[in-house]
Amino acid sequence: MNELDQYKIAKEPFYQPQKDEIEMYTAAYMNRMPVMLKGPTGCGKSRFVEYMAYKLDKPLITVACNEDMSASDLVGRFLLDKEGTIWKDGPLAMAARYGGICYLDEVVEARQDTTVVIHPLTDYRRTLPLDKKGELIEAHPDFQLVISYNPGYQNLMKDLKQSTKQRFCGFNFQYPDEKTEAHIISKESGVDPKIALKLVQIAQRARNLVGHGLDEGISTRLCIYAGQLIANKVNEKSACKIAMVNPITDDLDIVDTLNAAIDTFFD
Amino acid sequence: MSAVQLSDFEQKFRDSSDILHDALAGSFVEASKVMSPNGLKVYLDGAGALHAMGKGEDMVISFLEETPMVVREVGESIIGEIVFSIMKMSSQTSASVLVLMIASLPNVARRMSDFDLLKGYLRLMERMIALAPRGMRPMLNNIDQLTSKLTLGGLRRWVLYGAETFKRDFKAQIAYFELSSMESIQILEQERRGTLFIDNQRKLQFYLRAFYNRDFFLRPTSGDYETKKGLRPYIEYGVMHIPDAYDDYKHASGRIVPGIDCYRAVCAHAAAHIMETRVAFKGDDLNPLQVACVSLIEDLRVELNTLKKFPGMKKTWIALHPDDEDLKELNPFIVDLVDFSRAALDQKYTAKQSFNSDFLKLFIKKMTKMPESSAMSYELGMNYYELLKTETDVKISASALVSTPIIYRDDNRYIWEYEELDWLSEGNDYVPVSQRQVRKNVNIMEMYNELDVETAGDDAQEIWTLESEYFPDELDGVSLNEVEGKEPVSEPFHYNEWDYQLQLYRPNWATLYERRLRKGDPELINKILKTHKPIANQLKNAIDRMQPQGLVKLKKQQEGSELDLDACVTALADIRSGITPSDRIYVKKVQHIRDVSVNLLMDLSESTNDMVLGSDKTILELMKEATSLLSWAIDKIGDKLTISGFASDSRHDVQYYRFKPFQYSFNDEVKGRLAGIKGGLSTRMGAAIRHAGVDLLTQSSAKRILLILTDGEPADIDVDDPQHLRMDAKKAVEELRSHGIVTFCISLDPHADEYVARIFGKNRFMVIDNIQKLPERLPQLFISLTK
Ligand SMILES: Nc1ncnc2c1ncn2[C@@H]1O[C@H](COP(=O)(O)OP(=O)(O)OP(=O)(O)O)[C@@H](O)[C@H]1O
Ligand SMILES: [Mg+2]
Repeated sequence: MNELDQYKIAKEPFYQPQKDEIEMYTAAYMNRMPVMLKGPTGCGKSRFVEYMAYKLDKPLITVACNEDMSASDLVGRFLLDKEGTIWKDGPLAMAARYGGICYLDEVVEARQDTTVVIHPLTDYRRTLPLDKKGELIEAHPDFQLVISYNPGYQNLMKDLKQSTKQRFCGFNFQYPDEKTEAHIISKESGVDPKIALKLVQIAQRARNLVGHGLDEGISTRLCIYAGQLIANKVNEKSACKIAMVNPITDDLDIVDTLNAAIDTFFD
Repeated sequence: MSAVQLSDFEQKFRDSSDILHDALAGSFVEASKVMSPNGLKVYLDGAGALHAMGKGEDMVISFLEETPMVVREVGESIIGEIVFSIMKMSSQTSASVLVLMIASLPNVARRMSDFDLLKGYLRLMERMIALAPRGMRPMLNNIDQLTSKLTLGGLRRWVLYGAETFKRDFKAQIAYFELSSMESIQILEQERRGTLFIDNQRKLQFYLRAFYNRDFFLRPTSGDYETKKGLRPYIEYGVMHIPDAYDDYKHASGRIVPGIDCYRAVCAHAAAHIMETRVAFKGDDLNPLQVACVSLIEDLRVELNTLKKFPGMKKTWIALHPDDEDLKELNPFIVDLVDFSRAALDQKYTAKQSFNSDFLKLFIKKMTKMPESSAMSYELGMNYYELLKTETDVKISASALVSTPIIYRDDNRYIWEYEELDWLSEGNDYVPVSQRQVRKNVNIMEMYNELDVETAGDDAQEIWTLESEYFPDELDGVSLNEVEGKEPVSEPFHYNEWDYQLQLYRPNWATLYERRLRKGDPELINKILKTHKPIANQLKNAIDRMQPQGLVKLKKQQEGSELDLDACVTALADIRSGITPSDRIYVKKVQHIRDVSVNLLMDLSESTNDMVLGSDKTILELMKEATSLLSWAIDKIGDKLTISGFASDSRHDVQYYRFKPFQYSFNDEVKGRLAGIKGGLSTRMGAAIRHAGVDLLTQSSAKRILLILTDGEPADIDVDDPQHLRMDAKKAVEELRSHGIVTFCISLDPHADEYVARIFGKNRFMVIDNIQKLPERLPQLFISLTK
């Protein structure tokens, strides 16, 4: 297991549970079930996996998926060195070989011909064929695959295939309730809890507009950004504008509306 | 009950010229698209009556031609008003002025986009003709400019000022109304509207949704004309009626509240009522002062409840409370009410009157105990009245009570129930316009509904007519199976339709059939391509530039299908000399693929048969040319394209035509179908958009685009409210977007700006004003859109 020690999470990450997700995940891991985390951007999916990896004391290998990613980026490839070619495991192969949690973040971003390489790992076979190398990895008993994906609608055109989806059990994430979210924001950013609550309330205004002019609401992550700025003595309204409004929309009428919301909550 | 036939009315126009008859026939078609049978009857009867006045045919023709456009904007109840106004004015002015007045109506209707406002405009015209008949012609010549700068209230003040001031000085009167005198311009500037409702409606809608997570229905209402004060906002049938313009609110101290903030305060207060006021008070036995007191307490109750959730909202409201200086000249009773109101909202403000402070304590106590109770407001309001009576010497006229200095609060007709009004049924919830009309003219609507629903027999007859017109060649059974084995008329597809007033879908409301048109001669399309050779050449250049030539070879890649020899040699050399070599030794071949599917959806409604101004072609012919060129271009680019068209004849028959299915290339079959394109009927856009979306979803492309080519806005014969189909189309566009389909509208309607943005979204439409250029612009546009 030494190979993966660098992927162990050293310090307990702060994670504020929303419901029973910790117990549920633990149960899923006990059965080595592949897990899919669904939810809007910045609602705590990545943080949750980190926390679980820490709790279960397993290494966590995270891969941020993107469109240009090929199957070799996951599985591995031959490299050249002085002696000729050597094989280098990709992150997925490494996790499977040595027993870690492999987390494919934003998996829909990857092309479908890339995602199919996870199929044999995620059913009863639990194997990973390395075609180029001519090896078949039997997954280590500790290995688990986790993917995250945002069902928000700009992704609908690159939806996951049913045959991929149906290999996972799913956890639905939402933005936490007002108090919980405020607690998270204040804890993460160091901003005063009262202010954190206002940030959440502003974010909720934008979330009400999702599907009515906005594609995505203001995430917890952006609230934390605003909180950090405010904790560093940036004027509250300006912090909200640059961290919470400007990033999410170019529609001037919505910008105006959100600014009005900010003015409502801050003097 | 059968539909209205033009022939039934013909005897009214027996002794008229061919020109009038032509106009009658032409306008009838147009009118029958936007009017119900009853509306049509009023329209034709009206035209007959105008004709009978003997003021010349021009006026009748104008009326016939302009009215349908007006109806399209504000609904058919306006027809009777127009006839009435013309008749009233006809004794006081010449026919040519009346023609001008009628001609002004479609534009004014578009600007005001509200029945009551347009009615107000007609009343103003009547008034003006009595006061300053000579000013009419010059003013009507400038009416577009005037209505773009002034609200109805502003226009009224501008007109009345000129009419009064230059009552006897005719020369000055004319100068004033043709906008050539200094004074006229000055007053115009002074009346120039402040912050306009129309310009901010979208913002307000967002604002309300952001805070309350639901939609509210907003409508503009015109300001009062004698004073410069705006009408008070009011709520009726759950609709917020809001002044069409707000000037910035200036406190005597010089402090300014911008117009948009006034709007927000109004909306937030009205929303508070709609959310919090549950029962109506009986007002019959109360005197106006008691009504004022109870209203104030109820206003404060709903506001304080809102503030529990959004404490910051009080800033908007407090800012619009008059300061001490603003109150100087007001009635002491009103001043006391304002004092109480300020104290209740603003913790930093202490009531001037000690009895107000004491009463506030009581109010706050009650508010913590039963915040939800309107009955509490009533009881407390009555107590408050008694208190005021003992503490002060109340003397106030009813009229002074009407104009409260707290401008953002509505007139509270919403919370009062008077004997003649049935509050419960007219009630709290929004009642759609259509249902309200049922109440008003039961018979007509019953007739109309019957006609609408009981369609089996009628419908069959209509289909029979259509079939004989559209499918004569398919009906002989030979060509029937010729193409992809489908029947000419498909199974029905049912689509929901969005009712914006109820904020609900009407389930399976529209029925759509895929149909075929009779094919034309493919040569026609080849000919079009030939005549447009120069354009085609230009396009070819543009296409060449956008397409990478063949496969692209990327050298020095980490992986690929072939070895990059140069890189291998370098790598081997590096290995020999003990240096770690680069692992980028492959050549990767990438096909620069454009993964795009396009559905070009043409609006084939009746209006496409209109001639294009300054050209010898109809809109349809130009559309045909444009689509031919576009298909040619897209064929060259290699994107997946389907070409379709739609028309509708009520919700029971939305017709969808497929001229080029995805799998067909630009072959003779397709050319034949394109050549056979015909226009007719109406524009129920939402259902067609949804169907086009389904079609696109069969394609697996990364980018799916729906291009809509239309010459007007959504409309259909069974829909009265011009907003309804717009809102449904907007919803349909949103639905498609949620499936990753981008919708783009190319409109040929020069007035489209006012509604296309609302339907398709900013940056999601283009208005081609020079329609003659369409064949050239359409493919160019497509290329630039998909670069
Ligand atoms: N329940 C939670 N407990 C602790 N921190 C949280 C929680 N939810 C969100 N956060 C905070 O919000 C930030 C964003 O969360 P995270 O990066 O996990 O989002 P995500 O759901 O993975 O988003 P994306 O889909 O964009 O990757 C985290 O950095 C963390 O600070
Ligand atoms: Mg993440």
